[in-house]
Amino acid sequence: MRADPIVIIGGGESATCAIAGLRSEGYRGPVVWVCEEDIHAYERPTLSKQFLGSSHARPSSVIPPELLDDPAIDIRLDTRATHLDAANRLVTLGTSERIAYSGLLLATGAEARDLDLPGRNSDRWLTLRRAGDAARLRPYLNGQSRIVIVGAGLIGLELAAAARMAGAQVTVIESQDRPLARVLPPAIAEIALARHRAMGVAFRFGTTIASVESGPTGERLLLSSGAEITADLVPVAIGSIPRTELAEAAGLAIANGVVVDAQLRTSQAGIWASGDCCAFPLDGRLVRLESWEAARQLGEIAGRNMAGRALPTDIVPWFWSDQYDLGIQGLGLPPDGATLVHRVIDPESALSFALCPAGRLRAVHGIGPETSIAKHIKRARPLIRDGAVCDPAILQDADQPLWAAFPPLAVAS
Amino acid sequence: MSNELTWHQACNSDDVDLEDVLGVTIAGNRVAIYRSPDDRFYATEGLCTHEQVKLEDGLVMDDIIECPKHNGRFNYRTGEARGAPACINLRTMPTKVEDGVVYVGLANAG
Ligand SMILES: Cc1cc2nc3c(=O)[nH]c(=O)nc-3n(C[C@H](O)[C@H](O)[C@H](O)COP(=O)(O)OP(=O)(O)OC[C@H]3O[C@@H](n4cnc5c(N)ncnc54)[C@H](O)[C@@H]3O)c2cc1C
Repeated sequence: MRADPIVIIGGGESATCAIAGLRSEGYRGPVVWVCEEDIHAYERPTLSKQFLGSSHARPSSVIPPELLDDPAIDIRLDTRATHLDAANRLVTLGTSERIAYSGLLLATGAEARDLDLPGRNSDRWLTLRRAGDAARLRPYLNGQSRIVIVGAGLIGLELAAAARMAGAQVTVIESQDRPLARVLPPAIAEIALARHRAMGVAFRFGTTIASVESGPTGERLLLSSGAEITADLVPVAIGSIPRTELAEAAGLAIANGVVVDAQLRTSQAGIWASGDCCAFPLDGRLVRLESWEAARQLGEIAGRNMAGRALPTDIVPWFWSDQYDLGIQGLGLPPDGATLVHRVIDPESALSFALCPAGRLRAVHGIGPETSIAKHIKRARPLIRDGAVCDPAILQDADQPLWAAFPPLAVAS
Repeated sequence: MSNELTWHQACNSDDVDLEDVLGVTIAGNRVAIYRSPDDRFYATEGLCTHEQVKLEDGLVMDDIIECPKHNGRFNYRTGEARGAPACINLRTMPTKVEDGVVYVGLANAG
């Protein structure tokens, strides 16, 4: 009898790496790979960056050719998994096809959170998650457009940069009193903000949209501050919601994501989860990340574990963002109550270190032209992993070599 | 392609620290010059094959260069892509050091 296949649900980076992980551990059996989108897994981060300004019809694929050519991998595009029966190990695709699985991975990612305001004309509003969303945005990237972006997070500000560079008039509305509050320390976010302002982006902080009136010349937005703005397009970039509907209906534990253990196993035998849809234990907390590298790393670990390994998810989370020619990177998760130590390299370049009370390095964030701060971030990786203790006085003094702040033993280990 | 090489002056040998990398432009091409822990010089094309990022901002560890952007890894001695997301190898070029000057050999067009 033929073994039941492993079923992978979701066609993003995490799913792709999971299948590569399965194969790397020698699993040669059948795989059914189910993806709702109608194109092969692609580079999602580019949707708010280079892809917007390019003329490419679709973003680059991320699937290694050996997986595409593998006859035992049955790729179902444009197909949604609609029901999961965990007790009987059955998954339903589309309206009727039922497949028995030997193991199943949920790599369903996340969807953009929207603002469903009454009275809006949906043709002039969008969220950015899929290639088709970016295609809708492109025609507005020109000098005639008035674009009002809701949300000053990473995606909102990347969009602001792309739209300004294309000549559009750009306003960003943010309910908090500063940009990038969830992801960056203030000193790093301020450098990005200063650049956006210098490029002519207008900001309205501490403000929300109170109501909308659609008219022939655009969307009239009445703000909570009392001000009014008219927009040709309103991209909403206010975060994402994990795609947990399948898991939830199947009775799996959920807590802002599909809950998994350190080996990425869900609360049901035979089901794993990875990527943006999962909440996994890290530093004693249950966290859900929305970052490309983690989606890839967790996918690979899940795939290898599904093939019989028991690898723990000991990752150090990392992300990057590009705005104009400024590159931002963050590594590690700052603990609650972290002490922030700031190191100014030059007016547009700085690093911010998050130390736990005992002085151990837990996270570093940086900004600078292009990839100029990358080396510092990379050198911090083993230090964060080891919880190296550092000297804040040296860290913040740009006249002293950075790594003198750490004892030589920590650097060597 | 002709296999004639032209040697181009790239940098001084002490412009590059041990186990580090420097970016230079030679005949309009970005080239990354590496100095290995055992004090030899290597050269590869200067932009990552994944997203055209400058490798000179990356980190050299032993015989590996890690791309500054997406952490793709290459062996800079051979150009071999060694870690996702990089899957296309880097082109390598021969080097020589004379009187403290590093030269890179580029194939003549034609
Ligand atoms: C515009 C944008 C810019 C970004 N930029 C950056 C960046 O600069 N740096 C960074 O680190 N991260 C960035 N990210 C985040 C990064 O792209 C994500 O972390 C990553 O794509 C998550 O991968 P994933 O495979 O977990 O999920 P996803 O990429 O979301 O893929 C999940 C897939 O599963 C499909 N799916 C869901 N449910 C079902 C179902 N029931 N049946 C079938 N298919 C289903 C979805 O349609 C989707 O195709 C960005 C994200 C966006 C949207």
